[in-house]
Amino acid sequence: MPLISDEFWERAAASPLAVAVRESIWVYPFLETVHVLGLALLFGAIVAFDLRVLGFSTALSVSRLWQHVKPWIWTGFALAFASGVLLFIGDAADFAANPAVQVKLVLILLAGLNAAVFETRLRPTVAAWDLDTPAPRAARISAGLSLALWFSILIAGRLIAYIK
Amino acid sequence: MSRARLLLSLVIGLALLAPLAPGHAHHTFVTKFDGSKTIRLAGVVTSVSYSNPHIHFQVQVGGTTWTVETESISAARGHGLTQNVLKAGAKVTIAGWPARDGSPALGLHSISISGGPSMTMRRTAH
Repeated sequence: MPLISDEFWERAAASPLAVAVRESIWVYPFLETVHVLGLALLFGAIVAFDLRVLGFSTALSVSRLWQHVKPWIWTGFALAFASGVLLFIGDAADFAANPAVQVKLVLILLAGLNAAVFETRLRPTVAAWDLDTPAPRAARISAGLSLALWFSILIAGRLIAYIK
Repeated sequence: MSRARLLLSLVIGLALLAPLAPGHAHHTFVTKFDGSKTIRLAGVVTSVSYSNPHIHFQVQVGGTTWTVETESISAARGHGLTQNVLKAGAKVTIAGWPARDGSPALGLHSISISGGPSMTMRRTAH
């Protein structure tokens, strides 16, 4: 039993916004470009930070690196999210029924939960492992999970076009 | 550190394997259509969805309605397949690759519009 009815998605796909996404010559490629740009910022910044937590370049301060990457993570997420929602609306019924989309959304949710755990439980202890010290095991697990999840999200996203 | 390296090599290994994932190609096209067979049809266009990322239109051929997939709006316009020529009622001869699942669907190779232009949209199904 789907959470949201097919009829709802069909009505969404018939909306003027969805029609504009599909039928304008440039809106779709523009949104795809913004989506890739957003992903590049988001994924790039996440990878740089996660690798540091995993134990690479321990001469870099974790807290300072976090200050550097955080705005780029959020900028990238905002761009990818907004363009992703619009692309989804362009063909909502098909996308909602696509297994790769469903898997991708669940993975994004898991990545968000993982980030929330890191933010609330692990980052507050950063002073103890900010420089030249291995991060605690839990933080390394969280960083590894984050890498694996975001990498899988990229793959699931790319497979949307190949799965019905 | 060794754990980190292990994880990194795992991620890189997966990245190298990704091209082997099912359906990897430049395009979804090759996963849907069988590039080793070409068929030719003549019929009348009954409806057109002139949309991104791919234009679809239907062609009535005898008692069968074929769904034909072709390029994006900008690529189609570049080839001259505008909404002025691809419209309901147009008599067309089309060549393309049949759907792998056996449904009456075709990936468009070329189209010739009666009283209008002929164009090759795509040379291979890859």
